[in-house]
Amino acid sequence: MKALLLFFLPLMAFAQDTETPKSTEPRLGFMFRKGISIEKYSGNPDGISSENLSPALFTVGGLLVIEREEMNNIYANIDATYLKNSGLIFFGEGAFGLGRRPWQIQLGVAAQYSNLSGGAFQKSAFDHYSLAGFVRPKYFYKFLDTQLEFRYRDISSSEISSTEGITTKIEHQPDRIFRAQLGGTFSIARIFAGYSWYFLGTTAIASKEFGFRINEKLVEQSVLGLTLDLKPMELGLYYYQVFKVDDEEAHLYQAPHFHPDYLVGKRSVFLEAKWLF
Amino acid sequence: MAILKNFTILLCILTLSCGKTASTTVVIKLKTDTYISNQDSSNHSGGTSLKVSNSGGVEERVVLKLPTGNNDDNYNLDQCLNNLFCTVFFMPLVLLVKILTTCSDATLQPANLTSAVLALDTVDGSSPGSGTIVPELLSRGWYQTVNWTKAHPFSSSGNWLTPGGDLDFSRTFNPNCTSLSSGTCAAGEVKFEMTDYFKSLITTPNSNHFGFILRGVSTLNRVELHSVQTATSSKAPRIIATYTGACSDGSISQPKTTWLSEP
Repeated sequence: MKALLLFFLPLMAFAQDTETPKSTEPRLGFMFRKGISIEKYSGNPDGISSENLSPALFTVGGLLVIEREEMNNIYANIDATYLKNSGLIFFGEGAFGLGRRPWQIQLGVAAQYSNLSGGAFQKSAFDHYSLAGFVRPKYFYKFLDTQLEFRYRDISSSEISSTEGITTKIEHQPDRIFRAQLGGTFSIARIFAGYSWYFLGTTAIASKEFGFRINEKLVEQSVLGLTLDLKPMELGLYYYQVFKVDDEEAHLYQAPHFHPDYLVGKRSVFLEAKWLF
Repeated sequence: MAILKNFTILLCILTLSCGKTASTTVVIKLKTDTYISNQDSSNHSGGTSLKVSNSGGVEERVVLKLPTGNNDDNYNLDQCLNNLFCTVFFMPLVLLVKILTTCSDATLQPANLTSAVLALDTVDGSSPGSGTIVPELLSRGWYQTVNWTKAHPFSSSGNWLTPGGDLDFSRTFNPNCTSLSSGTCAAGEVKFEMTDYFKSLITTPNSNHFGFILRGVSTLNRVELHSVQTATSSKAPRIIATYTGACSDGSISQPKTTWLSEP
């Protein structure tokens, strides 16, 4: 808390009220995202090198924002993430927000599909699709904004091996994710800090010949972010750190997430650029 | 009159085939095997041969197990998600045997098992010396990617506590081609006596069976054995089990599939 105050207080001199959306025209945008891993896990899933677990080479996507009136809006984005020598991850998310200043609540859905087979991730634990729903209450106070989020994510089963004529599959029970975030807008800059609690669902790996179970785990992730609003472009820099991973090898099977959450590395930095027209 | 004649013939067959001791031998092929080496961590499970040796500091061991069930991967996934026992490898031993016999089900009961032999064949037809290779029980589960240091890759708990395999010393076995309950080792054959162990498994449904290590008793030049993937199916690792008992229910069974561990 002390660190957060020291982080925010000097910037309060530049604080301004969070800008209220005024345009009611639909706006389209474009997004580019690139990440680097600062610290990786020591263990790797079978047949997958540490290099393959680096953040995506890049993500490109499109945005749609429709703002009807203050606090009532709709947004959607769809993007494709390219993993070096591995394949693509497609992700889409849409939500609508309702509320009356200073409150807003967003409700949304998200879907993700990984098509990594054929590259470094042949028969991998990472090939799956997922569906998620989320609710995100927000509260605005002067230049500060706070938000909570609860996300429920269901991940499909996938085949991870087929050796000796025996198929091995992995299946996950749904993840539950809680997030809390505090941000402040200071002139063109917005700084935020967030913390996420991932209740990763029980995971089973089984074939006709055996089975192995990884019990539900709580993994935590912090994020510090800085965005600059350079209309029509917005630049963002994010630092992520994952905590409480006590079994790194099991974690990589239980949380095979590259995008939009990057949980297959301990510490990472992402750079994001958005153009909203 | 024709019906009466046929009925009489059938009655005679029934009378002749039942009420006396009959023996049935079934061959159960293994489904998964591999070998591990203290010189490399490669995955050998897809190979057509297995290697066992102990010479000059280089040791290779065969890792194999009996087939463990009739449940498919989807059923086992559900079992693991909903069953805490799956925190370790869960291996209910239910051995599938296709029985082609004219005797009744009564013969094929665990109590009637009179012989069970684990049989393998060398690739080049050579015969390793009798008593040079010994099977030992493993005390924990392993995956097909098993190597000298790692039983499975799914968790940091997947490392062997003892490199080369964690062993269960509660039961010991005779080395190859010694004290066999039936038959002998022909040229190229490597056989191990398993009757007592096999009987204990099939009389206790849902027993855990984590498999065997086959290792050289002492110095042993490399022996190469046919694996599950061999092109010569008849030489793949197998259990040869013989059941001897009375055909007690007086009926003639049809060829059928049954589960030996079921009552």
